[in-house]
Amino acid sequence: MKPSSVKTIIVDDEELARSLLREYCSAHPHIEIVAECANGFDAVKAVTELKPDLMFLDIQMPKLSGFEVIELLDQPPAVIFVTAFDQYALKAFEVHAADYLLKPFGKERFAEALEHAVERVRRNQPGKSREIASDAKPSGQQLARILIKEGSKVLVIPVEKIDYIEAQDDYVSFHSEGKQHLKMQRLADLETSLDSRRFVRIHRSFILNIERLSKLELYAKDSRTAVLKDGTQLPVSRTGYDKLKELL
Amino acid sequence: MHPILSDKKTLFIYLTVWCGIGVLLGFIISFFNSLHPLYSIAFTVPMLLLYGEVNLSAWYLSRAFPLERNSLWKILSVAAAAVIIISGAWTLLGWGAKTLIEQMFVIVLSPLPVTQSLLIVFISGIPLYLISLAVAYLIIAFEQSKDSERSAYEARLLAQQSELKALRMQIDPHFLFNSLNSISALTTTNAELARTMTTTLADFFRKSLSYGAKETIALKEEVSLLNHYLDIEKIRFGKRLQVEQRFDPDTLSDQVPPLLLQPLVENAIKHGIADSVEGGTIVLAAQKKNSRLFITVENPIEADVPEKKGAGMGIDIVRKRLQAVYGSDGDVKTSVSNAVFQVIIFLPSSIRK
Repeated sequence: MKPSSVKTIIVDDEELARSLLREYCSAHPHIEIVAECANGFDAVKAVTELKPDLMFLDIQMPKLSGFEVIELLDQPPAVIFVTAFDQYALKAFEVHAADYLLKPFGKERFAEALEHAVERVRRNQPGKSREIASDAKPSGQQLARILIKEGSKVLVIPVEKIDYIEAQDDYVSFHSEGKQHLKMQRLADLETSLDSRRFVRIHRSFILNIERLSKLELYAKDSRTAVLKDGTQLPVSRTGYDKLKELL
Repeated sequence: MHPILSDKKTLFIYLTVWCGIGVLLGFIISFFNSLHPLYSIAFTVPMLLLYGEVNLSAWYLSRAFPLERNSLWKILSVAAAAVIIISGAWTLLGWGAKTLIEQMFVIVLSPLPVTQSLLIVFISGIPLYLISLAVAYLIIAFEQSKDSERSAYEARLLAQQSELKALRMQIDPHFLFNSLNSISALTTTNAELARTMTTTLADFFRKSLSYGAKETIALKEEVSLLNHYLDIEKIRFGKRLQVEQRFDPDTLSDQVPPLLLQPLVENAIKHGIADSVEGGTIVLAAQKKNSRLFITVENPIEADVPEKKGAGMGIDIVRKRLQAVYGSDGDVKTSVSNAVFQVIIFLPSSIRK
């Protein structure tokens, strides 16, 4: 049986680095390069539209890092990281990368990584599943911005522009500047990766940016409502009220 | 070497003090014996000068029995024995001299009976020697504290120097790895450029090693080093990296610490070029004002990129180095305006003759 071609995209912000990968790939006829991207935004767009099997991915790039690209993809292809930095190897393993190439690398090492990744593609188990990706999120590190994919576009929301976050089944909805943005994520995961001095879980389904809080109203015993500066009203649970009291 | 004998000036002062004591003693004796002071002074001054010489032995004694290695009892008994022997010898000598002078000039230096005057000389010799001994121990203690202070200072200086050396060698190893990757790519597509990049890379490292070993280098040497660095990065980043240089001609001979600007330019590329899709222009400039040198490094910044940790590290290192060399005369200031990040270094202008 003749193996079908492996659709591949190359993501690196340096032209020379891309040309090297292109050259190495040309020695492997079953590799079909469908796109080359110079930054993370283009990579997310290309993967969404072209659905490649394999991606060579640089880590330090303008706009989005290689890890952020993977985070944004629902169905990421098999990934071979290509970088000069060795300190991300562990994190690459956590997001189930097929291999990790350290610049500069030779043809033999490249062929080894490629074989490994192609084997994974053939077994039809390319990247990670969603759950694993969110579990692999670095703990203890505070998010500075939220990345949301809408269609093939990427939206970047700095955390200070978020008013509040609402849980909706498997999704969370970010309310920012009068708009709503949905992202597949668990509210509990989000809570731990946000700055706890600014974002408070006021309710099972709500995280509030306390800078947006205008006042708290008591409307029944043990039951309060948070009124935001734009007039929005959010329910506050008893534990949520305790947390707020502690912060204010 | 004896601290008093080693220096003519201190020896002179030392003997002058003993002379003074001799004169004073002479007046006291003349007062009690209703004698012309000149007679008694003619006796006491040479006596005390002699005693002063004898008292120099206190220093050798204090060296032979240092405080920290001998018990107090031992030192006290040694001091007591020394005092008795030395003051006793001095008394006998004085008695001999007195008899001689009295017979030669037919006068009476002291109307007191012999045993009494001998006792007086002997007893006055005791505190004088004990004072000498105490002073000798004080000198030793003082020198020891000075020594330990000096060695502490030297240790601090050494630590500072080695820290400076470590701070100097701050070239990011990833620069090397990325450059080698570019060369690897160029070998098939543009062998000539691969060769140029190889030699430029070698020149850069060779220069950074030789400059790094120096205390200061001329600004033009630092600029030539930066140009090697920028040439390599231009091959890597292509059109994304533009450089503009505005060095006033009168600044180029000024001395600066080596590799001071290199980490700043490295930062400028990392944050202004590598983080940006379109790239931008890095501006390097230097000018002199009121015998102060101002060096500027500017890079564009992306509005939506959150500030990265470690961005201030390079600046901190430069500040530490400047302060180690120039104290409060050297510093770094940073500012952001119109999407441009600017670092200004200032240091005293100095030209090596």
